[in-house]
Amino acid sequence: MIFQVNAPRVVHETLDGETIIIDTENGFYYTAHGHASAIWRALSEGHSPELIRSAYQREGKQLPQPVLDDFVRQLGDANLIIPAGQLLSQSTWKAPADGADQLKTLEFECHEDMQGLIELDPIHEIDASQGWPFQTDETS
Amino acid sequence: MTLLTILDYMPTVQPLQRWLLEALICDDQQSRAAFEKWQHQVDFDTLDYSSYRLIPALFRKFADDPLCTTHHSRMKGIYRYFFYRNNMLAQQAHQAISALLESGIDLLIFKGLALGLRHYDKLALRPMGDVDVLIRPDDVQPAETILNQLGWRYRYEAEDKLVDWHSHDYINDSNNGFDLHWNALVESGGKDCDQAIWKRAETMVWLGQEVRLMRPEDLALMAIINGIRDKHLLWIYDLAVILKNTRAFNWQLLWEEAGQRQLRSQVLDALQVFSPFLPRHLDSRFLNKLLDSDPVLNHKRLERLIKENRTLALDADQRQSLETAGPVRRLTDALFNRPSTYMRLSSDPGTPKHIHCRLDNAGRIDGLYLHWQHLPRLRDLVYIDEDKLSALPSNVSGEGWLSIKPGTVTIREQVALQDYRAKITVKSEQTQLELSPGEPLRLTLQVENSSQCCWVVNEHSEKQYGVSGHLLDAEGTLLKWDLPREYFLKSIPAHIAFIAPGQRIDCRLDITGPTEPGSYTLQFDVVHEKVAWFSKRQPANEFPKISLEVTSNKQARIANDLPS
Repeated sequence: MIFQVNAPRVVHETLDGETIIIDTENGFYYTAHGHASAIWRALSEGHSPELIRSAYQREGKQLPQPVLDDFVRQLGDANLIIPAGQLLSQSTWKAPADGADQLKTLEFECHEDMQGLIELDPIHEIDASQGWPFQTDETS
Repeated sequence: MTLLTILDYMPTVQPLQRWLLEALICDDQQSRAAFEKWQHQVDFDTLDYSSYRLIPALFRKFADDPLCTTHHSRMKGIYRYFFYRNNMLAQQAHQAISALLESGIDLLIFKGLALGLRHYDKLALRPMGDVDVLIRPDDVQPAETILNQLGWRYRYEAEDKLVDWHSHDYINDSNNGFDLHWNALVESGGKDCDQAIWKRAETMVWLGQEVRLMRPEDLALMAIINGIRDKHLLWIYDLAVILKNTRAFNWQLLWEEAGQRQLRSQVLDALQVFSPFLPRHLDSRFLNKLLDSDPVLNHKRLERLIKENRTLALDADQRQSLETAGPVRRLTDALFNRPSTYMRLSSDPGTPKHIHCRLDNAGRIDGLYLHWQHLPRLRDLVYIDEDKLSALPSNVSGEGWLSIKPGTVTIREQVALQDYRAKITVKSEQTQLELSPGEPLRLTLQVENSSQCCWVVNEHSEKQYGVSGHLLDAEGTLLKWDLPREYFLKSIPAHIAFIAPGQRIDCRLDITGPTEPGSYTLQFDVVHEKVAWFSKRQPANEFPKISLEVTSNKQARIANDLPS
């Protein structure tokens, strides 16, 4: 099956190894790191989960079917991706070569209560080692 | 010699801010060197608001650079913050804009959202607190109804709406802002003043909706004027992004529009501040060409510099250029000791006066350039260590340098004055005024320093002097205390600005008819910003009041109730 980002409701961007995804309808904020970020990009470019899994195999990495299925299900349940009506990408996709050979989990976080977070001062009221939206102990 | 020296509208670009802007705007090598200097020196805990709003673009540019380590997480957090905030704001604004368009309300998107959509690569790169749209003046009421239905409510207290000059600000439950403008700029009002901007607007499709945006030259003008009024520096980067992304930017069009709005002086000042960041787009030769293309502006600048005694940089030709009489007349004037135009202007008591301060490497005053007539006032303007200072010269005329032994003369701290006294005279000829709701009006005032103290503003000081007003209802109950100010004594880099006791300064005050018809009173006042209102220090009834009646059919009369 092929998916596409549920645009324009969902906006996303990958920068500095991290993908930020926003559901502008409910305001939920998601982040994906490492392989989760790479797989999100592959899905958003129209590559099927099967193709993604094969690409990992070609790199000598194990991406267990349940791990990938669970990730795709999470994205679907959150309405971040929807089934694509037609093949969107003809290009091949290369899995990242770095990281562990056995991928046990895909790092994917969701922040639902954004009203409080958006009112934080992103310089003084956040954990300086992580940056917004991670709060300091006093503000969290 | 250039007349590009009047920069009193401009916020000063501090060294850290300059490095930040260079890092963003300049070419690769200079950009990286500037970023390195900035990130070594910056203290994020005291980061100024202007710099803060430039961080997303900085992070985008340097996220992968090994230099970007010290503040990487905080910068990334600020990027995430604006990615979230801008996209949420844009989405909610899109819904409102679509509803307005579907109901037949014509609109133009401008300021942050237009820049974010049209010129910046990503919305996150252009922080914005609200979305700004321009609508036709007749559409304000129906547009407000639609916004209300979508959950946007007027941002401030209801009485503030009475004195909105050019826009109403709305907010929704997510604290996002939506500003409805019926005039693009507060500086230039009137029903048709935005006509040309409407005509040449561009269209684009945004999330399936065809929308209209101001064209790049108009966005640039808006960025400059809003930026220098609000004293932030984001406009410098906005302008750089517009210029880099616009093939054949039409400077003539921007200059013409600025001329129509009588904003050329501000634009010229802004471009002078901007030009070092992108000298290939804008050098001083080009700026002088702009100035030369407007002889009236050129003449006004020269005259103003002389009147304000900011004459250090003027050459002999410029000092002579205002003398209209021929050589014979000049000779007879000299023989009979009649003042030249230059002398007459330089001793004009109707403007603030200035003394130029020169600092040594340690930041101490080592020279003052002044018109010698101000020598007797010097002790009111600066601290003088009398033991160290040799006698001040006397019986000198004209102007020149006073050499100072460093440490002898220091800038006087601007604290509350011992005596606050001013007299305001309304000079506008029209004594029977009629105003429609929202109609702008420029009043000419004269403010006299009727105290025994010099009013002084040092460079970089926010404690400027201005004229303002308070809005009362017809019975005298206060509706709104703080109306916009017009500063008549401003801080100017490298200068001490002052108004001596007895001096009378001509200034203007822009007011606007409250948007609700009714009877009002406007009381004028003088403010020493961040220090005192004069009406709290001297009898309030010494300040003139105008009682005004605002009606939509303009039939009401406005009685003038000025004290004798």
